[in-house]
Amino acid sequence: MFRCSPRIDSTLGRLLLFLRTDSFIFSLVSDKNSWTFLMMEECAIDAQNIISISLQKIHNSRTQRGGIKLHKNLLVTYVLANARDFYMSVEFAGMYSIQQNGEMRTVSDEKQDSFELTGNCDDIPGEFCCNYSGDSLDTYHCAAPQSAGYPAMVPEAHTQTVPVCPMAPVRHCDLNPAMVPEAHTQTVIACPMAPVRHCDSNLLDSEISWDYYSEPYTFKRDILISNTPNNQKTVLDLDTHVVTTVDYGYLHADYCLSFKQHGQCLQGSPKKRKIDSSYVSDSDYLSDFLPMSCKQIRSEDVYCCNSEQLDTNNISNLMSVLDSGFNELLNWQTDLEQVGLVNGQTNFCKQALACSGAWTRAIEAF
Amino acid sequence: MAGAGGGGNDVQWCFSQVKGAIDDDVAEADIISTVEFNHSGELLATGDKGGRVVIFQQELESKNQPQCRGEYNVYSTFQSHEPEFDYLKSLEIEEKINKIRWLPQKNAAQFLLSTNDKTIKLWKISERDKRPEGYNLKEEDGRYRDPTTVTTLRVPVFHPMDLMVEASPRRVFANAHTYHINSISVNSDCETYLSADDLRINLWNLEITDRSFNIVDIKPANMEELTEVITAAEFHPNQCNTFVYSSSKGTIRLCDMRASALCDQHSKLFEEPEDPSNRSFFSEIISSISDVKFSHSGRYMMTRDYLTVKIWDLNMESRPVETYQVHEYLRSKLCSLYENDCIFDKFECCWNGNDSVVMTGSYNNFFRMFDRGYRQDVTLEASRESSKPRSVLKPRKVCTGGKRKKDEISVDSLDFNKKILHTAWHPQDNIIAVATTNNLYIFQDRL
Repeated sequence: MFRCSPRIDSTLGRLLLFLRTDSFIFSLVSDKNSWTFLMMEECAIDAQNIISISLQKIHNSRTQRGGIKLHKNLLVTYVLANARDFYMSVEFAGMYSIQQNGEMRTVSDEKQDSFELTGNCDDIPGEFCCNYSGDSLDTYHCAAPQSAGYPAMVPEAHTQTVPVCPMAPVRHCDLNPAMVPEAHTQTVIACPMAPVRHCDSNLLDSEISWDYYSEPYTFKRDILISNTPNNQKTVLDLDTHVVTTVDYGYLHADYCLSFKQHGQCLQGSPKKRKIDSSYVSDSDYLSDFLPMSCKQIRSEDVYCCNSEQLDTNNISNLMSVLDSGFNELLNWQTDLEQVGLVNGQTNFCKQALACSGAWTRAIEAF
Repeated sequence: MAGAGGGGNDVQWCFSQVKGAIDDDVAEADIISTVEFNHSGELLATGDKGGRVVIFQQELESKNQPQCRGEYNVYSTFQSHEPEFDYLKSLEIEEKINKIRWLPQKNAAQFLLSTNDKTIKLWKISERDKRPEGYNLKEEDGRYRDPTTVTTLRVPVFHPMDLMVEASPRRVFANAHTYHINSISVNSDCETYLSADDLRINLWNLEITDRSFNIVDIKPANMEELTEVITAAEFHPNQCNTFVYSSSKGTIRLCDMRASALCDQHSKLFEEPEDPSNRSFFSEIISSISDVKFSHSGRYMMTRDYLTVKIWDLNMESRPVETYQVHEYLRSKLCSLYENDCIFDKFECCWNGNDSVVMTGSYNNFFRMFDRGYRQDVTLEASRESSKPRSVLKPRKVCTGGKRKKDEISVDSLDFNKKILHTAWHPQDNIIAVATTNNLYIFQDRL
C-alpha cells in the first residue's frame, strides 16, 4: 500500500524529490546521499508497480463486457504517462549520479534490473536487460529475451530471438562490443508495438534500430539472410499505417543510409504501400482498442501481439517505448534541419506522427 | 448533531423504507445503476444492471396520519433494455440502464427516457383500471366470433377492473452513438432532448427516431491526439438553448445552440486551475468530472469529481464559488483505490428542492449532505442496522488520524465495496432516495 504521492521536479544535474507521507514531508537532494538514493529506488519501484497495474487494466479491459471503456482507458494512459515520467526522472537522476560519482549500482530487484553494469546479460535469461557501462560505452545495448528455435543467421554473430511481446521493443543491440565482433542478427517473431526509437546520440551507435520485422534480418547492408524461409518481409507500422516490404532479406540501401546519417531509425524501404488511415473508422477504433492495425498484422502474416505473453517485468523497455515518442518528436525538428530529406519529407512527418502517439499506440497494441 | 436538510440546521433524517433483497449475495443484475424522481416527486424510478426499470409510487397521505408522508410502493416493473450483440464490431452491448429521465407530465400517462450504452427508449407508463366488455366480433376471451353468428349488435361498455399499470415503448432512438452513452437530458421545451457519449452529443426530437443532430463533437481527427472525453451533459432547466457538458479533464463547457449548429466552440469554459501541491500520478483521474447538475433556479451548477463537490456560478468561469470535500481522507489512498478500480467510480450528486443543500455519495454506504447556507455538512449511513422505522440517522464520522474516538470509523476500516453512487432528492419535500449496491433506501426528515 503506497503512502506517498511523489512529485518530481527535475532539473539538469539535480533531482528534487518530494515525498509526502501521512505525517511529514521529505525534501531530498539526490547527489551524494545514499539514503536518498534508496528512497528514489523505492519510488521507482512504486512507479513500476503502477505501470504494471495499468497495463494489466488495459489488458483486462479487452475482455470486459460491454466493450472497452474509452474514458477509463484514457485515464489509465494518463497514469501510465505520469508513472513513466517519474520513472525516467528517477532513472535519469540515478544515471547522472553514477556519472558524477563514478559508482556502479545495481537495482536490487533482479527481475526489474534496467541497468546492469557488468555488461553480461546471460545472468538474466528471459529478461530484458540493458548493458550500460557509462562513459566507456558508446552504444546502448539491449538484449531481448532468449528463445529457442531460431537458427543463427550469421554463424559468428550472436543471435537472439524475441518472443511475441506486445510491448517489447525490438532492438538491434550489440550486447557488448566484445561479444559481437562484426555482424549481429536479431530475429524477431513479432513486436507490433516497437516504435522507432531515438536513442541518446552519446550512447547510441548509429546502427542501432528497432524494428517490427517478423523475419530474420540484419541491420548490416547487403547481408543476405540465406536461410530465410521467405524472400520478402512485410512490416506494418502501427503508428503511421505504412506497410513496408523488404525484399530478399536486404534492407534497402536508403534505409541503412538514412539511419546512419542521423542516428534514427526510419521505417522501411521505398517500396511502400500506404494504408489509408481513414480506414480506421470509429467502429474500428472502438471495436477492440486494438485497432484495425492489429488485424492487419494478421493479414500480413505477421504475428499479432499476444498480450497474455506480456512480461510486465520488462518495465525498462516499456519506459523506453512510452518515452520514445516524446524524445523523437523533440529531436525531429533538429534532425530535419541537419540532414537532407531521405525518402521524402513524408517519412519525417510519419516519424513525428508515430512518435507523438507512440505511447497511446502502446496501449492500443494490447 | 442535526443533519443538513435545508431551511435550518435542525433537520433530522429518519429511515423510511428500504427496497430490494436482503440477501448479502448480490446478483450483478440487481445492482442499481440510476435513481430519479419525476417532476412531482410522486414517482421514483430506478434502473439496474439487468436492464430493468422499477417505478415506485408514493401513496397518498393518510388522512389519519397527516404528518406522515406516504410510502413508496412498487408501481410498475418492466424490462427496458436487453443485452445485444453487435456482430459487425464483435461487441456485446450491456443492458445496464445508465440513465433515466422523466418527461414533464402532460396527460394522465407518464413518460420517461431510459438509456443503456447505445439505445435510448421512450416509455409510456399508463394506468388501466377499466376494461371494455361486450364486443360484437370478439368473445370475452379475445377469440374472434364467426361473423355469420352475429345476429344482434350491442355497444361495448367499460367495466372496472383491478388497476393495471402498463409500460409500453413508444419510441426507440438507436444507432446514433458510436461510443458509450453517459447522459440524457430533456430540454425545457419538452420537445427535444440530448444524449451524450464519450465524444459526441446528439440532439433529438422526441417524436423523431430516425434522425438526430450532432451538436458537439470532440473526436479528434487523429485518435492518438485524444486527451479528454465527455463525461456528463445537461440542458439548462429554463433556457432551452443552453446546455453544459463536463469533461474528463475537469472542465465544464456551456454552449448556446443559437450561436451555431455545431457547438464545438463553447460559450463559457469553467475550469479551476490545479493545485500543484496536490499533483500525483492520479491527478487526471481524480479531476475527471463524473456528474454535472444545474440547480433548479438555473443560476448555479454543481459538479462532482472524485474527491469534491463544486458549486459554480454560471456568471463566473474562473473558479467555483463553493468547494466541498467529500472524502479528502482518501487522497492518501489513491494508489490502493487505483489498484482496486474504485478510483474510477462515478459518483452522482443532486440538489434539494430549493437549492440550499447538495448531496452525494461515498464509500462504506456513507452519503454526504452539504448545507450551503449554514456551511454545515453531515455524513449519514444507509445500512440495515439503522433501518428501524422512523429511526433517526446518527451522523457518522471518519477518523483520519490520531486517536479514534468512539463511534468513529477509521479510514482503513471503510468498506470500498459498499458505495453509494446514485442519490436523488424529492423535488419539493425532504425525501431522499439513496441507492446502495442493490438496495434503495428512502429517508425523510423527521416531522
